[in-house]
Amino acid sequence: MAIRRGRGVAAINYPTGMNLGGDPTQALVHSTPTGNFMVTLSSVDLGQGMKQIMAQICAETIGVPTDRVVVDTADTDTGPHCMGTFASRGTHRAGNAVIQAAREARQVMLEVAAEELEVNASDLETDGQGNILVKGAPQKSISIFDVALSAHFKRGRSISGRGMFLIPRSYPEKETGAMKPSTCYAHACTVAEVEVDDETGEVTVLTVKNVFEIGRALNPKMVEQQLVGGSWMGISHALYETTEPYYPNRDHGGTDFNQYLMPGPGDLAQTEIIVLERPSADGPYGAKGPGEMCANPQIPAVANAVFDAVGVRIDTLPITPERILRALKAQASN
Amino acid sequence: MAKVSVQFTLNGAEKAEFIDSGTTLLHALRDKIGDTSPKGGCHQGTCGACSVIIDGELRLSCLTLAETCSGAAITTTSGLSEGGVLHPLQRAFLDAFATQCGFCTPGMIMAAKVLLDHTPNPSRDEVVEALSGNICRCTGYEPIIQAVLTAARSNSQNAARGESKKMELRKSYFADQRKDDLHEIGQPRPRSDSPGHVTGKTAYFADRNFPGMLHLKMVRSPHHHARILSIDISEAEKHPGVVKILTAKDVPHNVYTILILIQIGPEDETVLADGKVRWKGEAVVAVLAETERAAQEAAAKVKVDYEVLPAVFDMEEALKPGAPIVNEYHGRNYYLYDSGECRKVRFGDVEAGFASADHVLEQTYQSSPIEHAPTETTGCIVAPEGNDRFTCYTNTQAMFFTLDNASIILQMPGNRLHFVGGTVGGGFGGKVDVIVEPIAILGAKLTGRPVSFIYSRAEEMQISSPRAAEKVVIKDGVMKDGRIVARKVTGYTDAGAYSRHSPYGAQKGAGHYPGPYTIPNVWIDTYCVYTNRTPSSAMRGFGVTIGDFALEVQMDKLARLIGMDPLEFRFINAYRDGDMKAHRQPTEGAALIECMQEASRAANWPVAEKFMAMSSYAKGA
Ligand code: FES
Ligand code: FES
Repeated sequence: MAIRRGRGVAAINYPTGMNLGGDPTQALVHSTPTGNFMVTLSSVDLGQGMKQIMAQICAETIGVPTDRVVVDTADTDTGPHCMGTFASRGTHRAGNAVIQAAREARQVMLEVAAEELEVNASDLETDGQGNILVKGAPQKSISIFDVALSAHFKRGRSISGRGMFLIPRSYPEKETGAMKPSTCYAHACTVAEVEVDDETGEVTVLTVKNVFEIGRALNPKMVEQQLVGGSWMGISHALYETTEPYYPNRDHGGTDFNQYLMPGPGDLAQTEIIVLERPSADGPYGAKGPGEMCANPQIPAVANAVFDAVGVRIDTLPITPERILRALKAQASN
Repeated sequence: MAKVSVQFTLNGAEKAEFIDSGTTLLHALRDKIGDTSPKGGCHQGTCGACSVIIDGELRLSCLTLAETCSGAAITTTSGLSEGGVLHPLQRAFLDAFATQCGFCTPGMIMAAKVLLDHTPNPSRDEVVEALSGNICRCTGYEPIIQAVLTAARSNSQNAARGESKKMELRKSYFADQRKDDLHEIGQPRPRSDSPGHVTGKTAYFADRNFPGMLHLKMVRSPHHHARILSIDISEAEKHPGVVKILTAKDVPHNVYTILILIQIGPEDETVLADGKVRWKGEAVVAVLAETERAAQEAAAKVKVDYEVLPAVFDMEEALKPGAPIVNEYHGRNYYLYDSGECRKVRFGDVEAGFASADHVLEQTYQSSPIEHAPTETTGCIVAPEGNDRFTCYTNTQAMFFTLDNASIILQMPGNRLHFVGGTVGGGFGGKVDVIVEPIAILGAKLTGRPVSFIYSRAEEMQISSPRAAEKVVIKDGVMKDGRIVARKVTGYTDAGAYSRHSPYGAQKGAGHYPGPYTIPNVWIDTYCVYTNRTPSSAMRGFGVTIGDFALEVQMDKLARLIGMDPLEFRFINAYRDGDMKAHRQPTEGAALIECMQEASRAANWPVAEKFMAMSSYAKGA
C-alpha cells in the first residue's frame, strides 16, 4: 500500500457565444453634459465583472479613462435587449455592441470638437486622458468636458451612439450536420499532477498547470481571477461533485454544503495560469470567451493522471475514492 | 406568535427591536434593522455567508436566535470601514481581486477578522483553517487566502501546497497578430464593483424588503412519476397567515417551454403540475403567506392524492421499446430533431476509416448530474407598481429571455413587466431557467401584494436544474504513426423530465465533436433523452464539458495503445487554420498547438523538436 504519483494532460477548445448564433445584444452609449459616459445594457453581471469590462471597452473606444464611464445594466425598462449572460457570450457579444455604440458617440464628440477647434474631425485624436488634440499639433486641444458642455448647451448635439451585435443564426443541415456553431474558439492545455493513496483511494491534486489561449486579456487581473476559479471548479468536478452519487439511482443526493462536496481552502492544488493571446477576428479588441472553457481541461487531465498513478481507468465522473478502490480491487483480482 | 424585545449594539450603535420569538439574528439584521451585509446562502449553517461577530466570536447568524443576543456587541462587515476608510482586510480583498460575485465576501471578511483579532500573524494553514467554514463558488479560494495573508502582513513565505504563482501573459506567441497599442484594454484596472462587495453594500435582489411582502413556498411531488388524483387545499387555506393558494388552473398558459422563444418546441413542461408529476420535487401547488414559516406550514397541509406510476431513470432503459413514457408532450423518451432521433454529423466515410485503421478502440464514458451550487440561491421578489405593471427583482442570468417567457406563461403583455437585476451571486448557467419569476408575478397580480420566492438551499441543490448526466461512446480508428483516421461519437444527454435547454445542449455537443483534432472520417449522433429526474439544463461548459472529459481520456488511451507520448499524439492530430472540421467549417484562429507547446515547457514535459516547431497557422502560410 502506497502513495502513488502520476500526471496527465488534456487539450481542448471551446466555442464563444451561443451555439449556432442568433443571439443578439444591443448597447446604448451617451455622454453626460460634463463629458462622462453612460453605457446602457440589459446584460447581467454574474460576478465575472461584466460591468467593469464594458466600462473598459467603452473607455478604450471613446478615448477616455475607464473611470469616466458608468455602466447601467440589467434593467429592462432602460437597457436594450440582450440575450443573456451564458455561453461565454457576455464579453464577446455585449463588448462588440458597446464598441459600435461608443464609436458612434465618439464620432459626434469629434465633430463637435472640430467645430470648436475649427478643424476637420478627421484631424483629431484623443489622448486617453480626457482631451481631444489636433494630430501633429497637440498644443491645439480641447477637453472632453468642454466638448460635452458645448454639444449640449451650445450646439444642440447629442453625443450618443447605438450598438448592436448579431451573429446570424445557423441551422444545421439535417443529413450532414453542416453548420456554423461559433465564430471563434478559445483553447487550453492542462497538465495535472496527482497523488493517489491506493489504500484509501483518495486523490490529492498536487499541481495543475493551465495554459489558456483566450484571444485577448481585456483586464488581466480579472482574467486571472476567472481562470483560477474555473481551474478549481474543474478539479472539483473531476473528483467531488454530483447531485446523484449513484446515478442513475436517485438516492443519496446532497441537499447542503456538508453533503455536496467541493474542495475547500485546505484542498487546493498549486495552480499555475499562463495566458496566450491570439486575437479573434470578430472579438471586441480580439477577446474570446474563456469563462466556461477554463473549467474543462482539468477534468480529463486529472483522470489521466489518476491512471498514470495507479493504472486504473475511471471513466465515470466523479472520480471518487470508492470508484478507485473498486477498480483497484477488480484489477488485483484479474 | 409571542413578541420579545431584544437590545444589542450593532457596529457600535444601540439597537432595540420587537421581534417574533424564534427569529434568527440573520433575519433580524437583514429584514428588521436593514443591515443586509450578512447574506443568507443556506439558512442552515453550511455556507458561512451569514457570519457575524458576536462579542468577539465568529457566529453564524442564521443559526443564532436574535433573542439570545440581548446585551451583545455585534459586528458585521458593513461596520468595518470607518469614515469611508476601508479596513485593512477590505483593502486587501480589493487589491488581491478576491471578490467575484461578492456574495461570500462579507462572511469571509468576518471569519478573517476574528482570525486576525486573535492571531495577528497567522500561517497559511491558520488562514485556511479560519476560512474553512465559508463557501466560495467563484474564486477557487486562493485569492481570498492571499488577501488575508496580505492583510496580516504575514512574512511567512512558506511555499505550502496550494500556494500558486501569479498569472503570466506570454506575448511571444502570435506576436505578429497581437498589438500593444491600447490604453484601457489590457490594463489590470480595479473592479468598480469590488468596494461594494467588501463593504457589504452591493445590492443583491434579496436585499430588498417591501412592506406587506408575501412569501411563496411550493408543495412538491414526493414521487418520481405519478398521476394526481386530487388536490385538497381546504386545510391549508385555513392556516393562519395564508393569503392565496395557486394550482395549475390559476396559471394562464401553464404548459410552456423556454426555448419556444427561438422556435425550439414543443411546449412540454407545466408551471404547476396538472394531472401528473414526472419527477420527484416537481412543483404542484404554490402557497402564499404572510411569513415564510406560515407558507411552509400551510404547504405541509395541502393534501395531494397520487397514483404512483412506474418511473425510468436509466437512459438506456428509457430508450428501450415499452419503457414508461416520461413526457407525453414528446410521446417518446427522446427529443425529435428535424434530423430525426438525434442531431447528426456525417463527414467522410467512417466505416472505411475503421477498416483501414491499425487499431480500433471503442470506450464508454459516463457522468452524473452536477449542481451549479451558487452561494446565492435562485429567486426573485415581485412588487406591483399600482399601475398594472409589475417589477420583478431577480437574479436571472437573462433578463429579456425571462421577461418574454413570463409574458407568454402569464398571457400578459411584455410592457406590463419590468425586470431589474443587479449583481448576481454566481450563476454558472443555473439561473437561465425561467422557474421562479412567472409564478411569483402571478402571485403578486392575484394578491396585489409584493411576493418573494427564493429557493432554499435544499431546493437549489436538488430542485434547480443540474448539469445533465451524459453518456458518451467513442469509437476511434488510429494508425501506428499516430493519425486518427476515423471517429464515431454517440452522445446521450439526460434531460430529466422536461426539455428546458437540453435539446440545445445535446446539439451543441454534435457541433463540438470530434474535438480540436483534424480527422478525415467522422460520424456523430447526439441524443437528448427524457427520464423521471430533475430536469437538467445549462451549466458552465454546456454540451462540451463532459464531452471533453470523454474525448481527452480517450486520447490518452489511444496514445498508450500505440505506445506514443500522449502530448505528442495530440500534436499529430491537432487542428490548424484551414483544416476542414466535421461540421464543414474551415478552422480559423486555431491555437491548440501553441497551448500544448507552452504546457510542454511549463510542465517540463518534453516533446520532439518537430512538435515545438509547429504552428497553428495554415500549413502553406
Ligand atoms: S451558514 Fe448561515 S446562511 Fe449559510
Ligand atoms: S465570490 Fe465567493 S461566492 Fe462568488
